[in-house]
Amino acid sequence: MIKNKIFVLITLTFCIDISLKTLCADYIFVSNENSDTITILDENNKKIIKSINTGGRPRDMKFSKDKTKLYIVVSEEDHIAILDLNKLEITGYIDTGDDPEIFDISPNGKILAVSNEDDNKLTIIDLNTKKILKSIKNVGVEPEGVNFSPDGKLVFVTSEGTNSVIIIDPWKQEIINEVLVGNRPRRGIFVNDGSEYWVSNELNGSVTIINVQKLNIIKTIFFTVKGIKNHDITPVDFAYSKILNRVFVTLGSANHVAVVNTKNYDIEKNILVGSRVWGADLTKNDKELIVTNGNSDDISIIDLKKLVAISSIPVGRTPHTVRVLK
Amino acid sequence: MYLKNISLILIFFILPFAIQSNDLKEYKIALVDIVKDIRYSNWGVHPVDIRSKYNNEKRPIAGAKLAVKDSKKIQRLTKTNFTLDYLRFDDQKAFLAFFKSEKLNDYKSILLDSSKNEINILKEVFKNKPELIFFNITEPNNNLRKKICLENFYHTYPSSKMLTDSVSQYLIKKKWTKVLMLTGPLDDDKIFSNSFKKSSMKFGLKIIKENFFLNSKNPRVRDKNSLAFLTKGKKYNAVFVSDIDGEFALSIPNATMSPAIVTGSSGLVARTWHWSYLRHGAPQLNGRFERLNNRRMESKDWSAWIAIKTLVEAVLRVQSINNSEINKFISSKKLNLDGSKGVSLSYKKWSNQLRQPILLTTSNNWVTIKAPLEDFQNNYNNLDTLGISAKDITCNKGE
Repeated sequence: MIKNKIFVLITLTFCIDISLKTLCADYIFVSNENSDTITILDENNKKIIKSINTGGRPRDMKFSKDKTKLYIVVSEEDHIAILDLNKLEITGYIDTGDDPEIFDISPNGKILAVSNEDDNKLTIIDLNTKKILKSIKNVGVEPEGVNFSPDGKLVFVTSEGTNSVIIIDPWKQEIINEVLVGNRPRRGIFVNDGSEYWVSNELNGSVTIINVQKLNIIKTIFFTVKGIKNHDITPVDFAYSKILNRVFVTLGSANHVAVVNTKNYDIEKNILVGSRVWGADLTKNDKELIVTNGNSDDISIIDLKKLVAISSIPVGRTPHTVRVLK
Repeated sequence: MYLKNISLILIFFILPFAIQSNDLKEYKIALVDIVKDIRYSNWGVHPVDIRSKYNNEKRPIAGAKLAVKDSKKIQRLTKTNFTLDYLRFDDQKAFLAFFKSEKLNDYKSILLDSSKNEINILKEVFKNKPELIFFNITEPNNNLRKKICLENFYHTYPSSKMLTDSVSQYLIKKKWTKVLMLTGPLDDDKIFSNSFKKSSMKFGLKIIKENFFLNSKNPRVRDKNSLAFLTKGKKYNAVFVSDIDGEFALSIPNATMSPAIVTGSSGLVARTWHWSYLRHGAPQLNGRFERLNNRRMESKDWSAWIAIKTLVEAVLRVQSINNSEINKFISSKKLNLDGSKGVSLSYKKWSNQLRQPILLTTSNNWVTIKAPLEDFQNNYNNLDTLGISAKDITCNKGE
């Protein structure tokens, strides 16, 4: 009880800090690729509060370091929209170059790296000036997943067309290495204090784990789901809970989320969710997992104590990414 | 002598990285075709385009060029420079002479843009050159899959059976099961119709009648050239037209005497690629193709592209340019090829045919549906509900 009160107090102070105008709330943001909107839900009761038009194809989203803004990639408009988290309105744009898809922000909050899927580029943007510092060319074919290493020194990019992870120095803006992984690598995530980089291979139903120091592959996890053919298991996105020592992998057309133990790499459970599950994020204290189901136009809420989906909520058309403000 | 007939076009691409070309191994590929190939000047070309002086033949070299360009982006890991020569021959004689020449040995792989006639003659060459890998990139003939069983000869273009199976699945799904067939005068028309008959038996469609048409205005054969005669009656709800030339087929959709879906050579057409496909990275592939070639990507382009992509993927995984290792990898279960169609692709071990989803398309609409349809299941791979199955093969591989 006391613990909870202290927590609420801390949360309140934090909220007052960032916003004097609005009452503090925790929000869930869902980007809907085909209805060109962001759906905003209240994290506590999971009710939809608002829907915001973004224009052509909103996809990846990330919070600014100070949690006052949400950056939203709008692929067909070739920019990132900036959503003010106090007003819940779009207040500005950052040009990104052609067809941006997935991005990440450096841990110090200074730069942003975004993949330009059509042009095989990675564009580095200064977040203060909102200007493009450099577009790095020849980042494979169809680069997608982008992750800053936790120390901020490197960016790892998954390249779907070349089946590889390309390692880039974002400060010197040059490609420094490349690692061959599985087929059609979609996204990556740093796990176990940044010592491992996990990559989802959509077309051979697996996750490759790379040792970040040595840049060698230490493990490949192949997923199986009872009653589903292997070629329907198409892993895409991740959520990582350090508290629970678990990685949650969305398995795409298999309509399940796999629960993987980060200590022994065991697949502990497959949780049934909606149709073609892609995006994933965790709620406060890693209590729940929220995933987007692209083919059933809804999100599933998974209770992480019971490891079952407890509800699903309709959002816009083809939900892509989910982010929880916490 | 035959050298006179060759117009050799070398395609160069600038190396994108600091990697020096002399650090790289070389893997030489040739795409061969015949200049006077009726399939490009006439078959399937719209009559307006045939007459137009702005009409450009859409040869699959465009897809092969893109695949080689894409291969440069992974040179850091393949450590191989894939090169492509486009060898064109005036006629069949010159074309066949190339395969008897020493020049053939310059290459590690040959992409064949040729009809079943040439391939049937060349099968002995394929057999005597096990150190080379051959790809059929444009010929759908079923018998090539059933009767030539060679370990170094692959088909990336779908067989007619894959196309007619795809259409049949859709007709079953929609319960448009009473089919009127309209078959043209060419041998290839009859072959395509036969393939549909086999598909209709496999999936349970009912063929109520087969009429044979002629593309003419002659009033004496109205029963063969007038849709009033060819499509009379009310007992059908689907029309399958087999017209490789394609001109007559264009007149059938929206013009049958009773309302019916038209499929086969016009109306709803089964293709391996279509510019309107929007999922699974297809827009990116279409975009790259269009920027390079200034036109839309079509089925034959995709088949050339995926053939070279097969070789690149194999070199990437086996880390060698030794063709016997590459060949072993391509025909193994380890191959997971990404063709921007959502599922991983591989080759059927009984026919060396690329397993692939088929798109049911019209000329100007979205892809209507992708086959195999969800309801059609196979215990190994649902893609195997399309095309020739192992029991239909009449030879053993390597024979």
